[in-house]
Amino acid sequence: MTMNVIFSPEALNEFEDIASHYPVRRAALLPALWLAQREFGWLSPSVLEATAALVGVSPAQVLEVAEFYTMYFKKKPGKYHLQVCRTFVCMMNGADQIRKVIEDKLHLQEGETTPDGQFSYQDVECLASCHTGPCMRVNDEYHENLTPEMVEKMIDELRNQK
Amino acid sequence: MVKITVNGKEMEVPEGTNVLDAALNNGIHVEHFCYHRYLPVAGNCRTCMVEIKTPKGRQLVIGCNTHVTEGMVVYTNSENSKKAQKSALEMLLLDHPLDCPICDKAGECKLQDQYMQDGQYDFRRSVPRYFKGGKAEDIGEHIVLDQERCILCTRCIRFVDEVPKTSELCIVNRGHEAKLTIFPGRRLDNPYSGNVTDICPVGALTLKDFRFKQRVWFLKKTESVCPGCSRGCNISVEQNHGHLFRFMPRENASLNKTWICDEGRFSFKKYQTNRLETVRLGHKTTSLQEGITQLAEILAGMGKDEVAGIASPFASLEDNYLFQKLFEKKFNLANLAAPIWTPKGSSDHILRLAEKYPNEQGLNLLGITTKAETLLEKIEKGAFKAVIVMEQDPFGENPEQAKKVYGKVKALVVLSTHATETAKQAAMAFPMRPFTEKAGTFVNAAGHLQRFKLAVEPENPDLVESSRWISKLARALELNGFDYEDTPMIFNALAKENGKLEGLTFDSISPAGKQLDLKPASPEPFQGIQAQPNVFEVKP
Amino acid sequence: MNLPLQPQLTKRFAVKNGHTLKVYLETGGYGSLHNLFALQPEQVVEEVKASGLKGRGGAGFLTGMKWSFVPKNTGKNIYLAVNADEGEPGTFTDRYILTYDPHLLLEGILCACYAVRSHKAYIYVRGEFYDQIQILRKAVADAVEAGYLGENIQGSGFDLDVVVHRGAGAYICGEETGLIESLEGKKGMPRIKPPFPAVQGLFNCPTIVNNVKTLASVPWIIEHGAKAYAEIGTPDSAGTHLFGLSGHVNQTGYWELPFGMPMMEFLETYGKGVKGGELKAVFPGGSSCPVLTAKECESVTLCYKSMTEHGTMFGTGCVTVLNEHTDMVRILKSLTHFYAYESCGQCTPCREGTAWEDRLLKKIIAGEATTKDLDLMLEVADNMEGKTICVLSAACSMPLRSIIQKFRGEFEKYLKKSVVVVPGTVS
Repeated sequence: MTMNVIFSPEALNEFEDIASHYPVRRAALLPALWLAQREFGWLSPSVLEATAALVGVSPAQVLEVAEFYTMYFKKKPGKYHLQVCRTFVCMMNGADQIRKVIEDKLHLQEGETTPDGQFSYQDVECLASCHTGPCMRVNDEYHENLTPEMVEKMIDELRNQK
Repeated sequence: MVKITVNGKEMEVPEGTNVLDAALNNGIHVEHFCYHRYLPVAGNCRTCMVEIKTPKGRQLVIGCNTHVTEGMVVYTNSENSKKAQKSALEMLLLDHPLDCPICDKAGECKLQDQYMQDGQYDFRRSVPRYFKGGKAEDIGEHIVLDQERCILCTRCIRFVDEVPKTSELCIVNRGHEAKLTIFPGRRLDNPYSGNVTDICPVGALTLKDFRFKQRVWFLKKTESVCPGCSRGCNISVEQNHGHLFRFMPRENASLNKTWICDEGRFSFKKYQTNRLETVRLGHKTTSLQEGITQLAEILAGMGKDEVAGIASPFASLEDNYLFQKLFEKKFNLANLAAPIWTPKGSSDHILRLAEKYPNEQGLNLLGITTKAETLLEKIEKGAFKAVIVMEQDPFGENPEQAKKVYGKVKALVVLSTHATETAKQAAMAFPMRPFTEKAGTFVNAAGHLQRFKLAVEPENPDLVESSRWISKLARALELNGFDYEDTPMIFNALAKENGKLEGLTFDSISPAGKQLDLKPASPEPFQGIQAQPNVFEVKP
Repeated sequence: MNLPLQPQLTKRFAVKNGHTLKVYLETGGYGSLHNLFALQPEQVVEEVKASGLKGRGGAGFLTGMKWSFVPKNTGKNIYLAVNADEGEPGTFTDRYILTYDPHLLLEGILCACYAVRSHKAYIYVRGEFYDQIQILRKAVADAVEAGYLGENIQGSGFDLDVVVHRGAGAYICGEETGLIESLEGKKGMPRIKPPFPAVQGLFNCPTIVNNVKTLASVPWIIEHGAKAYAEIGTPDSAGTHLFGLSGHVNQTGYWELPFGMPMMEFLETYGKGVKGGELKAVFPGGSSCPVLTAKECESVTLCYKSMTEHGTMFGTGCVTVLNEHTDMVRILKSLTHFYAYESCGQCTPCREGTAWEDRLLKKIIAGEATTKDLDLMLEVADNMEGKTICVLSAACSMPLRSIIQKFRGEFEKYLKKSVVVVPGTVS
């Protein structure tokens, strides 16, 4: 495993500041993974190893944490990562139709990325948007009260943004 | 002590005991998977569920995490307990592959055991089987992982976290998709890796070395002690038809718990390769009896001070005792010395010690404390016509030095288990039985006396243990007092003479050994299993 | 039924920039500190106990009682962990406290930490609440700058460090010991109990875990007194709650109301009636509660006691309404999928049981199952519940059992038709 992953000095400083708020260094592992994801885009095995060395835990311990939580990217996401809630209230409100738009328009199944790297798609569970569903997150933004037409339009706009 | 009642039976257990141990230690069997006496409690398998009486009625709890309280009433076999235990078993078996016919764990598998005891139900999985993961993956030098057999008890993870503290194993994913794995590109390669296969309750982690070799119900198991280093971890020698298949660690709460290092675990192979098989005098091979007779003639013609002996920290207490007695009665005790072996080999703060021989303290106990420096000088100067070297390999250890020292000795007699360099260089070489083929005792670095029993009776009639060889030689030299039928008798005789062994007989020694009143020889005090700091290097 | 004289939780929801410190102070924010620091910590605990405030996360345990479990004089740090990992399906109200009134939460945290003598609070926010995390971080920074957090708060001599900690997508981190494990940098797998968090929690120290709404309710109690709080709501359910409403109603949303309103009144007045058909069933407080039929809804009121009497739980207070056209089988499938996906996988009955239920239901929906499979689902539910490390298994089995028992006919429609051969005829 080649170690070509190096955190920037700013990121290292930021991490040390975060870690100073916890009595045990390992407690800063989730923040460290967020930092790493921000720095490197996604958590490849090399990034996980570098994070392990930074925090002072074994690579296996970082691996199991990264794999446990669904918001850490274990493979490179698209520029726009679409996350559609599929839990029961959104389902009642028509989430399936939203997903169908994504499947038809972008030819994406769950977990896939478009060949040009623009869009990736993940089914997620309840986003606490039950009264305003169907709901979809695009990266870290919430989009609620969706209709299929709105999603079609959104995808077109994002495509044109480049 | 706390009084509790289990299944109507009253018993007293030490405070702080958990309900599961309380039951197990009193002959009440409750199956359990994730609980291990020497690892932190996980409480995840849910198979040890028992009912305890509370003011609000009976409550189902896991036995392993419930500590006994005064007057506690426990039911391990009530309807609700049995239902909970059986249901946990059913869920563990739900997607478990029916690998028994090809699984090495068969015969010592907890799933099999519990199914036969508590299960035997109609199979209810009416949905397609879920395939959890990979099959027979090579994850380390010694270990094979079968992910789909794994029941996620986390014993192995807790072990690598607590004992070698290398944390190579982890469980990724959530829920039903959870599986045991290692970090991609890394290996499970700490010096204690083999232990995970002992503690794995099923056949998920198995030893490459043992794979498909032998069904465990054919193995004959003998209580023994590992001679790999001066720790003397307790082991069980397991063999069939005289062929050694494995060493397994044997529990000793204060010494090695249930662990053994990989070096010791796989050392069983040593005793089946490169063995010395025949008696050699000069260029001729001969029988044991003939060899002894000839040697006796040669020795009889020598003066009392013309024979030297090097005792052995590799041999047992009984071997060295008779060696000492021989020199006392026939030659000069001052010319019997303990060898100087430079401690080498890896050591750590867990089990392994640098002294790779089991019985240095035995020599101290016998009073064979003369260190060989002076004696070796005299040997080198040619002061002795014959030197008997018992169970060691100076020519293999340091050939130049050995040549220098033993160059002028006419009759270099060596007792050797293996076809070593020394066996080749000596004028006379006699094949000896290793510890697996004899009984005896060792005293470990901390002064703890431990007994090992005979595991394999070899077919070769010329193969004897050093103590029997010495007895035969003594009789050939017309000495009295060497009539011992078996090794226990030798120990018992020694115990009568040696104050430190007062009151002991070979049979009365506990399987966990006995601490003697001896001052440990090594400069660093013996600490037992100790904490060691975590070191997570990122390997380039 | 008493209407609150003043809104407590939603006071600033419609106020422009109500989330800023400036507006918070202008609208009476941090007003409890005067009373707070005049009391001894133990007195604060007694006050909150007397108020009858119950944990708003779903368990409904008396908050003051929970605080009193923290052992004194252990020499160890005491921690407060704030559960802002709102992930219960159907639930969405913590979100708005974090968005519109973060300082109310901070004031509540301050009161709680003072009461249990904690100087360190971690707000565990679910990872998806990115905006809320930014708002909270700013609120904490502003509060520190203005002396409402940090050292020597408002000259009281009391120090408190509040850390905002981002989760990363796991429902099980809403379980208090799962949250603690996640805060410690591990997988969010709940711990076996004993030991209990109040005695041995975060970093092996005494820890109190409280929900956002619970803490947001505390400042009003300190400012206006336990007696005044206990007079609102019902005898067993004191105070106000932020109720949510979703599903098949004409108006979804969230409102602060005192406990005790009858369910039908809530649906009519605030939900403006059931949408798209007659009422069929209701999840009273998140998906982990047994469902109520339309008939049961006629007599149930929104409080802990009434819910328990009707065989369900109050839960999170977020009601989801299902109309007559809802396929209960598909609803259940969505739930079994959810619980199987979110199960941490640690203990056997939940890990295997939730997935088994999901697979059985898949078989039923595919038309390949028999009555035996349906009955097996009920038995598996029994084998999961009460036999696990945490209550996720019960959160799956309870609604499952209620749906199958109350709507069994819908499931039977999916079952394989059994063929009866009459001797002598051609089938």
